[in-house]
Amino acid sequence: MNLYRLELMKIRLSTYLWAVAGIFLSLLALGILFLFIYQIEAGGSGTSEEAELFANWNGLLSLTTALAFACFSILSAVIAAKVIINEYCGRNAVILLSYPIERNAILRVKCLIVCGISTTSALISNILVVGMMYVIAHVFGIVPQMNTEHFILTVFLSSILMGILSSAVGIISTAFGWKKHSMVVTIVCAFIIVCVATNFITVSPRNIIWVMLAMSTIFVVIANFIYHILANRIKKMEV
Amino acid sequence: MQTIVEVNDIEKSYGPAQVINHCSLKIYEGEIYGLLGINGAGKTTLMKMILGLQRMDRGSIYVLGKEVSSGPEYLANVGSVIENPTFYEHLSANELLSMHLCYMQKKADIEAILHLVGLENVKQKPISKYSLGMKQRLGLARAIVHHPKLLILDEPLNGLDPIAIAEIRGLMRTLANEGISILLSSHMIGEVRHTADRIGILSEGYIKQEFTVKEKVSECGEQFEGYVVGLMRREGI
Repeated sequence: MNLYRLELMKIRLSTYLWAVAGIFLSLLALGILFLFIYQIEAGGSGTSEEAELFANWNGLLSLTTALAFACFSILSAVIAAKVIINEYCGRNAVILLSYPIERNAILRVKCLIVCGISTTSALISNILVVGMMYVIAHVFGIVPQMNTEHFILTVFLSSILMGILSSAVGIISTAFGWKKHSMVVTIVCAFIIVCVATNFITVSPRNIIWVMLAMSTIFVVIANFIYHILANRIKKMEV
Repeated sequence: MQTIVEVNDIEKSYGPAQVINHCSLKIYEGEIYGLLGINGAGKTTLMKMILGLQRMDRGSIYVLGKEVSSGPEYLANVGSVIENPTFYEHLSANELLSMHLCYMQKKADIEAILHLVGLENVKQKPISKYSLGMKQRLGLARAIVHHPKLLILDEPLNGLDPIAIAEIRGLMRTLANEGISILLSSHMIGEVRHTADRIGILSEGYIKQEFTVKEKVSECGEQFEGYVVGLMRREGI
């Protein structure tokens, strides 16, 4: 637990909390916009094909989750770049490797911090955004309501899977940043992954949970593999 | 006298360039060992190998009786300033040293150390506001705060004003008198002469000459620096 506290001391957590707040507000604004797009485009008649994605909660949930996934993946990559790449590829490596602690223990803590911050913030943000959208839709009587229990479960599961996916993207992009010893490469790599992966979330809104579960499984396996490669490199690292 | 560092016939190369070549040396308890050599002689590489930051191709290094390659536990008793020290600049000196102590799993009086290096008045300021000299002092404070038995200092007086240099020299002597061994590297003969007990001249990857400062100063007097320069020229160092 002490190592977590020490590693957290090294970063300005408040900066990332402000970033999370900014992402949350942007997503909320877009979510509210999505609610009214269907009304504007199709007049609520449900005939416009383009507006179909905005016509029911499955579509709206997949859209907001896809957007949240994109934002929190980039955030995860930024944190990973700062916490892992900047530390090991910068001049701090000398002091970091001079501690009487197993090198892998520090890397494990750093990765868990990246995953912890990304997953928690993504989960809370997405639940709040969709929850607030649901309340607004209820108040204005727009978008057909769905079974509340089923909806809560779907939102919770998709949010937690999206959080896991985002943190996995952060760890995966670290591999490329490590290769080039660059924070920028880490973030750009996350951006490229996000551009491709986001499309899969909106492919089948009705099966969003299954799609995200499959994606999470693949991404977590890749992230785990990359973690082991990084751990091996750090073990043999010379500065 | 107890041997604190024992370097046995080590070798290290970067590609075709052999940086350390059959190098051996011993540092004893309470001794200040000055490592002299021109730029690129391999002083920093040797120090990094003692700290486990670089791996050797051949040979062995023992620090406080533990082989360096056996694990990082011995580092709890080693303090170091390698090259220009780096910090987490948003932290204050107080926070940085308490964080360092936690990593080293030790407890110490941070206030006393900050007083010792002359940073007690700025201990709450973020490190980003420090001057180069203040950062150098803080690097030294970080190296000694956990009461190490071995101190490895790579050109520690760089960027310091004359008063600070005199103070740090005095501090090194005090630490050595308390039983702490110090390995000090420099390419400035005067700096090492006034601080070290024994000097090793690193050239072509190994310690080419080794002598005690006291003996040579009594032999050469004020010509000490000239003697060392002459020695380096004769030996092709």
